[in-house]
Amino acid sequence: MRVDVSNFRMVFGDRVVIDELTFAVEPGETFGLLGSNGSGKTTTLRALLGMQQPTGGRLLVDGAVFRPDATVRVGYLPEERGLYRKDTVLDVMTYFAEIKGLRRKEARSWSEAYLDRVGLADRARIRLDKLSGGQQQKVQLGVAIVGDPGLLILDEPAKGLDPVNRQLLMDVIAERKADGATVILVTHNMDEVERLCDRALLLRDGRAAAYGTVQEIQDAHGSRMISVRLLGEPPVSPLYTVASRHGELVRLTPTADATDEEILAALVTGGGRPVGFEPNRVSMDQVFVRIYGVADEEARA
Amino acid sequence: MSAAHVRIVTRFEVSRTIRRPQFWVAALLLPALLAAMVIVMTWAGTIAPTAADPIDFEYSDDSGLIHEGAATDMGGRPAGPDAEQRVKDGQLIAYLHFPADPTTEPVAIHAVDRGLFDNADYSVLARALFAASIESTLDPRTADLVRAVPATTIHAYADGHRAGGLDAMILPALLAVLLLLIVSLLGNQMLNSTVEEKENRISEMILVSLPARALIHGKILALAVLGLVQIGIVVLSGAIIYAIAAPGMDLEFLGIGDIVVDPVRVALAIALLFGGLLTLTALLVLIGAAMPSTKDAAPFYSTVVIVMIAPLYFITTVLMDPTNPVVTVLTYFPVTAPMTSLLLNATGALNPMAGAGIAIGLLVIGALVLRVAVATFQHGVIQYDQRLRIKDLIPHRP
Repeated sequence: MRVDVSNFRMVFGDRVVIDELTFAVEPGETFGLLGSNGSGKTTTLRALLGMQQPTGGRLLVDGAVFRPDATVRVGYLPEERGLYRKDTVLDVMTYFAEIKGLRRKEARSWSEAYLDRVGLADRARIRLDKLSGGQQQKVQLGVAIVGDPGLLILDEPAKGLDPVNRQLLMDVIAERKADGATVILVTHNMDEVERLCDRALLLRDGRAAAYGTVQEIQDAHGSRMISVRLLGEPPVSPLYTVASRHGELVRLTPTADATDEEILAALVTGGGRPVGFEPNRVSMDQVFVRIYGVADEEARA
Repeated sequence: MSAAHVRIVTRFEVSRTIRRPQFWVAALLLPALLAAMVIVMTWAGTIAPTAADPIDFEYSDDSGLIHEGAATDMGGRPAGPDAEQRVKDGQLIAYLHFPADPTTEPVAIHAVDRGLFDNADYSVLARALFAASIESTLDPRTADLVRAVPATTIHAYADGHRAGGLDAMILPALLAVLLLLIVSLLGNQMLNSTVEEKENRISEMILVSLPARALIHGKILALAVLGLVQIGIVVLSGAIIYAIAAPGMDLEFLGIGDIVVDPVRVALAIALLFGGLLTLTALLVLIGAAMPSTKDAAPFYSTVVIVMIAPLYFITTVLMDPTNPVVTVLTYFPVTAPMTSLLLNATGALNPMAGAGIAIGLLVIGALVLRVAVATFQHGVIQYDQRLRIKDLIPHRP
């Protein structure tokens, strides 16, 4: 499923929360929607899912404004999440599965299989409020992915998760991605972004502060270096310049368009005889701090 | 909105509700109270004295109308000396003095205090002695006629047809009781139907797969089903209690003969009940949709329910003086209209055309309020901690 957001604008009272935001999420990619608290991430998702009326612009899922319907398979794990606490785990999961278009029998067996997978089979007939917080989160995740959604939107999915549940979440995202699903991930954990996301959008004050592949964002917000160990002389190439050399250790500054693969190939074919190759990019954490640091400085000014 | 979604929501809501003990407690409370009342009444009947204990009294008679034999039969005798003083000293229970002209002067009664209510027995005794003395001067047939007012049979006609009278009032009146019963039993659930999703942070998770309208319609249908189940429980329990207790109880005093079905009044009552329930449900759903929690919604819920049953505070006026301006206001104000018009319809004081107009009005208002409730739910669904403001419902384009 593809997501297109163009000229999206959201105004609450006198406050402009989102201002002319445009981005796209390609089918099958994992997309990181990033930003500090209050930057408009959740508002964007709610508007995309029809829960808030945009002040302006268009937000489309597979070319159409989203309407909740069993034929459009969207899984959503919102930031504010809960379930029917007084009902049993299996009943709640079955209910959500039915709403998402599964027949009652299928819904029940899917739910039982999921609970078995996440180690909650013996809790299936227990009331939800009797489960621990972590167990409830597993059920919430199950409710979000039931029906094999083509678009999975996870808003702060790892918030409050222990390492075991975090791994479960990673597995689920990987599975959905392997099945060709589009995943939109809202997170403050930049390691997750680097590990999982193909592309990302970083929101600042309702505008796109950074947008592209993770590498593009890193390269745009920090000087890119590559450390190589060469047994021969560094060959001359238009793809990089030599920044420093200490014996075998050479630091290269790539030109803007050169990819890591192209530089490595140039070193090999130019007779540099590389035995070590390590791109040094600024981390997404640093990108985040740089972008918001600038914002803070601007705010102070 | 798909019918399948509504069906799924309805089934879920019904099944989760009937599995809760509170549902059965609420449903069985009324029959339990009814059964307790029957038991108490039966028990009271077995221990109640069959006749009042005779009062030891003395009397003096300046009118010459009191018959000594009648007085003796009632436990009295002519007054001895100082009768009044002996009463004060507690040696005599009562001393009655009949004046020369009882039509202009009261009978003076001196008696030992038996409490505010039981002291009335002395007046009853004086009147009974007087009546018995008069009767003793008449022939038996005349005495019977004086004692028992001849029975009457009323043949009232409306539009050329015999009117049903009290018997035709029973079914429409039961529908008014039903309205009260449903609101008492299910009012809270109507309110909670929309608060729950917000309070438990479920709304976003569910509305991504389900239109808000389907959710609310499903919940209202579930309420209707649950209402029918609870009414069924109450009616069935009532029937069982009646079948067990009726043979031993004297229900003649109710003056009810065979139930007469007046099709117009019954149909009107059903339409009014349906319209009233729709309006009230929509109002409660709207309150739930606009409030962040049950606690915040509770004062508004109480207000609606109190206003809804307000006609019962004016029931004497509603029944005895249906053209009173207060009754007119209660009849046409949407929240009080269901109860007032049901009561007026039961007594036959509601013009069928006016009743039909009110029923249609209630249905239209109910449908409109429901639409507003759905819109409110949709807009207020993500305002977890605050009340929805009216301006939030109006699209904002700077």
